[in-house]
Amino acid sequence: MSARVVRRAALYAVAAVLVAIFMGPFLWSLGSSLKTAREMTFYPPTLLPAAPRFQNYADVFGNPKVPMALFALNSIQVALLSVVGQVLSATVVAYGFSRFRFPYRNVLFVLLLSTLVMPREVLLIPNFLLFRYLGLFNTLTPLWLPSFFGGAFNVFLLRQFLMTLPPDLDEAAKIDGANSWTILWRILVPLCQPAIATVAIFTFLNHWNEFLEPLVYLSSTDKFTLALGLRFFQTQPNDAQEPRDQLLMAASLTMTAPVLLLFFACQRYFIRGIVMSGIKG
Amino acid sequence: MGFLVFNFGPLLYSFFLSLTKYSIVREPVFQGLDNYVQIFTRDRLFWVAIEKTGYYAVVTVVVGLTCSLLLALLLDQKLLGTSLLRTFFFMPTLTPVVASVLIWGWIFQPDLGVLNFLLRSLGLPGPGWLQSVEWAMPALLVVALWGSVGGSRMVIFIAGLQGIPHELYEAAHIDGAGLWTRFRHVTIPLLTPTIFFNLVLGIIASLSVFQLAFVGTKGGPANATYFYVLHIYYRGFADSEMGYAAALAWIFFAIIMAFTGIQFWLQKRWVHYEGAPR
Amino acid sequence: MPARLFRRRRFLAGLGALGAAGLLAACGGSSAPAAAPTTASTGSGAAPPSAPSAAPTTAPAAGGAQPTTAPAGGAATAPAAAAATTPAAAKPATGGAAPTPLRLHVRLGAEEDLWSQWLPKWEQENNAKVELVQSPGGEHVQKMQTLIAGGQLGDVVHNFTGDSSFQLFFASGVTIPLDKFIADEKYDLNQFYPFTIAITKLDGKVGGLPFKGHPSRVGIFYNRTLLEAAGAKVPTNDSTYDDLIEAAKKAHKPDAQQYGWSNPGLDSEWYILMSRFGGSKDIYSKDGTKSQLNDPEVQAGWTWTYEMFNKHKVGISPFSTNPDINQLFTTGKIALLRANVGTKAAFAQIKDFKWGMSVAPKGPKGQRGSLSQADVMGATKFSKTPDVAWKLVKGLCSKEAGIILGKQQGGSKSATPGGRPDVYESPDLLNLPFPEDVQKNTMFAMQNAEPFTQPANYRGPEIQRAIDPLYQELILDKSKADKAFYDRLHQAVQDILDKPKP
Repeated sequence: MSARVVRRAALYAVAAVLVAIFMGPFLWSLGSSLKTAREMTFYPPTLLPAAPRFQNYADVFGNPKVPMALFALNSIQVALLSVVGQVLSATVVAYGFSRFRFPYRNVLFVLLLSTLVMPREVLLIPNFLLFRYLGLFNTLTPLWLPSFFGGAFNVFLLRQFLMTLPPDLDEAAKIDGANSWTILWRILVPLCQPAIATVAIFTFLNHWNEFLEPLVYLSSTDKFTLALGLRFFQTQPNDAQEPRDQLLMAASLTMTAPVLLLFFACQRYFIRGIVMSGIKG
Repeated sequence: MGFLVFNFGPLLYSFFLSLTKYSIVREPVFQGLDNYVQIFTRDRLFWVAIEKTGYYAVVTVVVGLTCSLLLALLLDQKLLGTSLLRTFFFMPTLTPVVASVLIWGWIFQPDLGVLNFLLRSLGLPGPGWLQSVEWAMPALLVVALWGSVGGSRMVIFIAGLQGIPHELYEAAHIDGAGLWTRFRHVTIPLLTPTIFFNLVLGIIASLSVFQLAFVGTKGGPANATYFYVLHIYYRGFADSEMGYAAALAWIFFAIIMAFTGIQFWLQKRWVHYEGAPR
Repeated sequence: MPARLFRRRRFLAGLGALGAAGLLAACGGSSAPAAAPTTASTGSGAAPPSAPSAAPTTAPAAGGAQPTTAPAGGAATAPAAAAATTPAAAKPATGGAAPTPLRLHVRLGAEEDLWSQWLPKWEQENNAKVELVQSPGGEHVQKMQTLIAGGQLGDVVHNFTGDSSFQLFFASGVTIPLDKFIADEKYDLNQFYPFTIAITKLDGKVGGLPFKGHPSRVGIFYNRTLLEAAGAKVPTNDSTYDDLIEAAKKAHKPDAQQYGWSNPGLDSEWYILMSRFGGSKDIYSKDGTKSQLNDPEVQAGWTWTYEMFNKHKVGISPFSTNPDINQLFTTGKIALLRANVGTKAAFAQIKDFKWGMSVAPKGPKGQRGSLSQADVMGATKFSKTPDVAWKLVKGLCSKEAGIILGKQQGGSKSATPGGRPDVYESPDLLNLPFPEDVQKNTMFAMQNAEPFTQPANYRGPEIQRAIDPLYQELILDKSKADKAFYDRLHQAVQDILDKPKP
């Protein structure tokens, strides 16, 4: 019994050290976000400022040239639409891959996975040409529209999940006269909820932090997303600009907060989702 | 399928571009395999990039996967406050790369940073970290691992662990198996499909490293962190040779697809699927 | 070899048709995705593919169409009158014509004051409506490249001689020659510094006007308080390079986090500049086809830098980005800093010590060594109203705009003034509250600047990336400043100069 106690204690100690490692830099950035530019270079380094300067946060959100609140709205719009798109399309595509036999199914699946591989930097121009052709330049649409056509990671995840659900379910429904769509939306989707929550959070996070695509597709400042706005606070080295790392810290921490809350709130779904998706086969 | 249009249209177009001389500001001009020939015969940085990227990928995949697994094991111990711990470990993943590079840049700062301050107080010399040829890569690896071990990989491991039926552990316990034996003979085999999933996606992700170096080191100092995708980006946009960059990208594509193929082929030997075979 | 030109448009037309089909198929397949786009306020899911400009490229031209048509007689004089007087109010004073829409590509945040203090007035006077397209400084050129590829570039672009974007854009016809406009109205190019005009020409044609002139990294910023406390000599325009070494030695106290010398490290202009000071020779031959790095005169500056860091050991590593070197100077940790004269704006807030700026000393051959570059405003071939675009270019490079730029301070703003003597010499700038001789020396640097030769094949960035690692090896003492090193350097640069234009 006492060996068990010792073991538990050791585990807690390990956990504490790990928390320090993971959260240390985070706390440091929290402290920095409340410092003056001058305090950033104090030596020995200080974790906390002498007097917290909340003005930094006001500077981030009070700059009329960089309407961070508006950027946040744009980001939310893009991220939420993408979530909707991914959830719907990945479900349908995964359903197709898991339940139907069609020629070259496996080849198609590998092709699907291959889309994770190509460096996006190279695809920027081709993608841009495509969206320009569709007349979607300088709208938020290109940022979420592709989500409606499935993403390989999510399809993979959902396919694994669907494959673990016994086919008997479908068969029974079919006998009752249900068609494929009804089976998917009425029977399989409700069972998928946890997996879908997983897809939702990963998708939200990816689009929230996405930088390259907004950079290319958006031109008017009032359509910018947060990730783009963040760059405003990044000092360009040697560009004779005032150092304002403390503002970048403040801005990025604020940007992190919503996703953090979302994660904390959803993590029960999140974890269970992947369990049930049965990656273990 | 719209999916095919949005993904393969641009993909095919990029292959076409790889056969052209394309300076972006002018129309592409077809020139056959010239770009590919140039890459293999005249591009010194191509080999540098391969070497650095390979090094980075090996470390981040091996160390990263191990750490993610260990974290997941820790979180599987039903400690008090597990959900808080999980959130703490996950937090670095949420940090935008621009910010995490900034945070670590300060920590690693050779003269004023916290890390060297601590080292000095222990009487140790502090290296130049991101500003030194030898230490830039290890420092960057620390940043990368910090930002990824608690992320999706850990979450997927936790899921895998929770999926292992409790009865199996109990049975092993009754058989008198120790902690290590149980880990070795129950946990690991049942976790192989999860490990496999993370391995495949982990290799793809680490070989594609870009932002970290682009924002943090620009590939320096002295090319110590000159990654492959960085090379693609610089050749394409900075040097206005998008055709060449596309060719580089297709070589990259081929390499990763080969890796992935080999993994799928090898999986039969070590990955144990409990349920029905796929 | 008969090079076949592929028509990208046609290829894409096919692709796009495929895309449209895909869209329809997807929407027909399941009703749910189709419903979602309507919730988006953009509502552009239904935009016809044939209208790439269906996106709101023109800002809401409020009131432009409302005024009743002006009497034909008075219409012609109205704009001129409006231009002469200061604009009265926001109401369109010009005749019935709707304002000409223009798109202008600039860097995010860097020239803020211009857009708030100058642009509205210009719009008023010229009956135009300018839409600003701002991208983060680091990705500004990349953004323009993508827009060029997609045929979506606006009317006027901010580009640079330093990164070859000016050369590439102009040589490929993206930006148009301005000679016709200049000749038509006898626009006087002598209002700019001659070197800025020299580098904004290609094959004798004017590819844009100098928006900003950079005398470059010739400022020696000094921390007077720190130097005097260390008993070191404060540099003047007559100091020598040996004087700098002496002063740096005295002020260098690394244990007290106080450093004698630094310069921006990840900064190509710096080493190109170093190549200059040993003699009149540039890093490239005058025609931009040959590397001159095998010349001892060109190597002298490199060797000096090497010794500063590795023989005298009085420097702090220049490769720091967090905090960047400027920030270390601001907080009083660096005694001498060789940097862009424009950096002074970042130092304006310093209150804890006395600082100033002199101009880089003369090298062994009596050469001060400088190189100058320009930010360029150019009109593009995409503009439907090139004459109005030209007017905007002219305005952006006017004295008035240049002075506003020079007065910018704080935050993300860049403080490099316009490339004109009347800006640098204007009392507005000379009387700015900078310490000591900072403003006077800035003007001096500008007057003595020499143009920086660009590689003839416009491969500046590629050469930079070849030099950077070698330069870093040198500073970090991974290589000695010896023949083997210079041979490598020379060869690396020459290899790229031998390539064709991209």
